[in-house]
Amino acid sequence: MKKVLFVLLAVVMSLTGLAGCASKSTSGSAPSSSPVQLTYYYPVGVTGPLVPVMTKMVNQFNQANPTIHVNPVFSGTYPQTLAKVETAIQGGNPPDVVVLNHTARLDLIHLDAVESLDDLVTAGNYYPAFIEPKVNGHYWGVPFQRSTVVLYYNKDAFKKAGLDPSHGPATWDELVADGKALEKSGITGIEIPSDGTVYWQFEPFVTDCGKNLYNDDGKSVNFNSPEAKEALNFWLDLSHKYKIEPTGILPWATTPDDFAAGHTAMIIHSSGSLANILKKSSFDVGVAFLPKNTSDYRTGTGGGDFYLMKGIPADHRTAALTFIKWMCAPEQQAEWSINTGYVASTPDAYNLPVMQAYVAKTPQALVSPSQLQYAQPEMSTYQLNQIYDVCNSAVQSVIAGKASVDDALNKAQQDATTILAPYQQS
Amino acid sequence: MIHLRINDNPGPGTARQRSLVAAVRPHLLCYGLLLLPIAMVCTFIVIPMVRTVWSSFQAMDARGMAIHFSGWQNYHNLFASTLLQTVLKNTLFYSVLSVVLCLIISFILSIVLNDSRNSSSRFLLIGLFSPTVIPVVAGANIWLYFLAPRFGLLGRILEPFGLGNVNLLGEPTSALCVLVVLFVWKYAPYFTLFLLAALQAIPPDIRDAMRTEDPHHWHSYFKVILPMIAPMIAFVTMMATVYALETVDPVYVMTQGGPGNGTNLIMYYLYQLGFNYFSWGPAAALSTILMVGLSGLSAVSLIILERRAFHWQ
Repeated sequence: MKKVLFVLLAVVMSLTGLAGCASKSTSGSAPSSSPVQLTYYYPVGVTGPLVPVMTKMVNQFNQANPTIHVNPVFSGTYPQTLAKVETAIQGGNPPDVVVLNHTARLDLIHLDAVESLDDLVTAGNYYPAFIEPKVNGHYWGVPFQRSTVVLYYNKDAFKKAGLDPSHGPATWDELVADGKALEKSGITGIEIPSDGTVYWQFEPFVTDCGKNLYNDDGKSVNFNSPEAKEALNFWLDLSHKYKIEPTGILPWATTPDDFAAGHTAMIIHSSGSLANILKKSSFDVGVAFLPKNTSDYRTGTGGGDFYLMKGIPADHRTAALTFIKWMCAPEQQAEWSINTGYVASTPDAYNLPVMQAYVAKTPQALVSPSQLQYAQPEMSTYQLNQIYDVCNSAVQSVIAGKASVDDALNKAQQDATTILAPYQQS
Repeated sequence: MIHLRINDNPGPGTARQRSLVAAVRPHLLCYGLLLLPIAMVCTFIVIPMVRTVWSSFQAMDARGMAIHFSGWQNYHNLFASTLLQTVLKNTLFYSVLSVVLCLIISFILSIVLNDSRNSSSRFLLIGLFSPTVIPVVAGANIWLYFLAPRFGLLGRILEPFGLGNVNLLGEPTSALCVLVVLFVWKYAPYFTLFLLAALQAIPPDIRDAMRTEDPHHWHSYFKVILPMIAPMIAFVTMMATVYALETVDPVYVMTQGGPGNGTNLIMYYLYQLGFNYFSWGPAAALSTILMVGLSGLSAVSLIILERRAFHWQ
């Protein structure tokens, strides 16, 4: 009896193995009549339920294009998605299309993982701030879910503190003055999230002082520049000198909830969190530019681009191009922007009736696109994740009170220089 | 005896082969069935292990392809990083604190459970054991909600004291301590079972003798009970050390090594080296070191359990 059972088990196991092989081989040589199956990895980089929105859009595409079937795969945060793509490439089974951080392009080119998309990018009328600069003379990603750093403020709390609710603080001095007035009225002045990828919120404050954190070739950084030190000292002062921000490291994921619950009157966050914040807040939400210091570069851009993976079959390539073009077209950009708060990547989207109806009701959504002319490109270097980690941990060690501004940024500069040394030679 | 041995002695040549076939034949099915698991072990464990050791002596490109032999260069690069020093410091702090706390708590729990052997202790056991069967990732997410400033359970409890905004994961040292608590929460009950088993394996006549000889128990605990369960304590210490060094999932879920690399533990650093930094060479070198170290520790603990656990019997 026992033996029979074992034999049965063995047969079942080997059959499932065979079935696995069989199904794989049929999908490889699918007849041309069945739709092309595309694998599409996408991350979610902001707070809020974006996965159902994405699934709905992909379903719309699949219905409109019967010869193509896109299989969306939610793949975590931006770094997690990059790691998954990397693993899939090494396993010889890369996805066809993927949304990745737009700054990942240097590493993706270095990995020889993506194809340039010059035709798609030049054919679409995208905001220059989202597609420039070219790398090696080509455009590599099509802007899809793009955002800027903005300041959200609670208009009701501003009124209560005797401040003008029609605009946010325009300068660093005004930020401090407004914050003090708000604290006096019994609410926290401002919260700037500082865990995780803090470099992103930090960078616009540095460019505000006149110099970016990195140099355009992506082979060197300016972590210990006087501008970076001035910005980080200002951040420290907000908590310790002016006492308008809680001390210590504040989490990115829950600052919008803090704001919506009326615990803090201002936060610095992604424009991509707008829809979520508006939904959760019971007061009048204001969105403003970041306050100005000495330079006019007052915000950074962020978010993800569509990339086309190298080495996929020709029919997949054609289908993938159709899909990318559709997802980045004005109609879809309008829908994605309305549902998430991301900036539509093309000004054409804002001329559509559906978008005009939306911004008439939600004028806050117009702040981010009008901010683009003041935007500096986001830090993009080789060994990107490693350089980001160096910058993040330096800023965090200062905010946590574990190191001085000078020590932390000098050490970060030294570490980054060591990491980028191999690229300096080439 | 002698008669049997003569009968058993295999003849030269063909006779010996025949007896070998005869010996194997009844087990053919067993060997056949073993083929699949052996193939799986080779594919998923042996081959990657050998390849990792081989890769650690190769110069690797960003896609993880070997370029040429490079001797100890990967090991040299690995130890040249200042980040590794921070990681080693974190790992040492985390492991020592986790193991010591785990041992103390599981020892106390096992004595309490052993002394109160009635129906109520069974529910206590189930309650205690539940963290162990919860997957780490799910458990870590639950703790994330507990610890969320202002919204979480901890924030709500501390609200009346004006500490509602406290963010334990926002400060390097407290974040590392949270990871220690998570480890103890998950593994102390598990190790309690081992120690409880050791305590319950002590024959009742020894306990009876102790009861008459030493009614206050203190002396007998140190002179009789402790030496008897010492091998099990050694085994538990080894296992706890291995588990602590292997910690990666709560780091990935709760802190991603931050803030400021304060919770970057060795296994998470290994993941980062490979999948975030594409430094495949140093990653292979670190894997090799960890493989040798951890399998050494596991071997020691197995030897202790096999050879010495029940030496008093």
